[in-house]
Amino acid sequence: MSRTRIDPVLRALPAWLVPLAMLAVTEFAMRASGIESDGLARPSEVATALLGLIGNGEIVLRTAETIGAVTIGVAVGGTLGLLLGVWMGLSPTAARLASLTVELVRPIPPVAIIPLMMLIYGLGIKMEAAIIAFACFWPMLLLSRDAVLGVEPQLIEVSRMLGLPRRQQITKIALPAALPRIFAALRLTLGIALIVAVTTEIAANPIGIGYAIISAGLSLRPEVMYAFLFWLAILGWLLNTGLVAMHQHLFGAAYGEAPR
Amino acid sequence: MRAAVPTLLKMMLAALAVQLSMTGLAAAQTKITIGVPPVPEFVLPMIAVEKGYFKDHGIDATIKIIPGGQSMPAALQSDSLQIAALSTASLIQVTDSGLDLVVVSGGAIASVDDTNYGIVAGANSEIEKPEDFIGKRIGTPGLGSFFHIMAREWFRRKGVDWKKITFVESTFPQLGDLLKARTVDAVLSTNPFLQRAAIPGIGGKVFYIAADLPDRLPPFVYAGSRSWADAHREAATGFKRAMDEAIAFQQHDLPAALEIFGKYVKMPPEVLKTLTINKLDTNVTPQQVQLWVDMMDKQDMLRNFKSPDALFLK
Repeated sequence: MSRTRIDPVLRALPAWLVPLAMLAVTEFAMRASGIESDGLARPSEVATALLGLIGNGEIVLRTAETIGAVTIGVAVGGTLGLLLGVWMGLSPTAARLASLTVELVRPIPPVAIIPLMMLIYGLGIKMEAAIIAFACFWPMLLLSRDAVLGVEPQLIEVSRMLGLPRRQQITKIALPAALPRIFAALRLTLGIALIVAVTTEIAANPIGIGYAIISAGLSLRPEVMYAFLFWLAILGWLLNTGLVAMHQHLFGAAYGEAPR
Repeated sequence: MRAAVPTLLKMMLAALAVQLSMTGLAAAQTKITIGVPPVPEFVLPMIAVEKGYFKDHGIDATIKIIPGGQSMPAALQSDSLQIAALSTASLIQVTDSGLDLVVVSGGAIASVDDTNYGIVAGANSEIEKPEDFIGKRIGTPGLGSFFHIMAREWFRRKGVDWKKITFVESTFPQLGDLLKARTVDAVLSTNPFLQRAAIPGIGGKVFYIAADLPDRLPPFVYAGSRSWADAHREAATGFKRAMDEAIAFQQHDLPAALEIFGKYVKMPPEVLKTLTINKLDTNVTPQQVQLWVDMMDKQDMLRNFKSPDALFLK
């Protein structure tokens, strides 16, 4: 077959074919080898388990717990990070004074503060949300600071020449100009939040998808464990796709395509 | 019609009185949350909830299944849990580090004829006697855990220097696969994982370590913070009594006990049927706790632990 005939066929192939093919190969390989394991399950078993979890509502409950913690954590950590980041972007003095503290505390891995947060908040959504807030605060702070620093200096100068008061310089000029980049920071932060949420649940907190994964693994139900893992992948994809769509809807025409 | 109204009123008042008295009864119950790992040995609180033994003793209990035990002490300290199943070794260690926890009730007893704790040598590992472990790798569920401590003490008693053995941490379900893949030469495990690793072709010789360890060793206890236990002495006593009733139930009807366990920890039915439960006992003494202190001392695990008496409410 000539190249000109193959190219249109290849271009027409949908992206979902790749994961589907990978699953089919895994299923075939596992059946052919007759593998028996307490830690592995065939994709067909995982699919059945996933349907069961949807049917009995467990997946909805676990997802609501994880997403609840993520929402609170991002709202708290993201907002604080955004406010401080904008302030640092606008005020060189604030940036200078805060820089050492930021660079000292920022490298602390969020999971390292699990024991401390457990002592303060105990088990449950508050503890998890606090850890997520800590994890989201830093990227939001740095990215929103950079977003504000990246605003065209001429824009600020024009606003000064027009005699706009300081507050309006921020709300009318700096923030709108930095908003697309701040939104990109939010997308990045949400990804981090989901990772931290599930890690916290696996390590310590008996709620959410992470808890469901570790519990299923320890009770010798690998198919359920992988069903939750698979669901987690879908959830991450859904979150990202939703935010990309929102990014394009809000800023697409004015600021070009959102990075995927 | 006129007579019917007072009668109706009386009935309503009577219903209200019953409702209020029931509310009063419910309010008299002490609410507690109990943390337990998803292992059959921790079935007692589940039985006590399901059979109403806790209610009979004025306790309104909720069970929280928490994999692993690392988060239990902090959860007790923060009052997220009021009572939690802790390995006795873990209780000693966190107390040594400054947390103020006490024993509310005993849990299980590892007797010398116990077959629930074992080291399964790999099928082709050529391990036949304790000395053969030198230079080998053992898959271990939690380095520094009570399993690990028991295994090191067992090697010490067998005259084998455990420092010449490599212990590799893994979760229970992965131990069988590690052994099968020969990533490790042996695994340290408990049931049902031990039985699954000991299948011919995967496992070889099984060393039941409890046989050579002190008799009546309490592998775990139910603990609470001292402040909670002190303020709720009646509930703490009621907890132990309800657990005793649960032991009687479990001894009388093991399949029913395992069925209750299956409600809380969803395991495949074929695995659930094969589960065994250690000898359970709510009585534990400072002398029994001292057995752990002695083992941990020899393994340089304690800094300034004073006496096991401090772990019991006066």
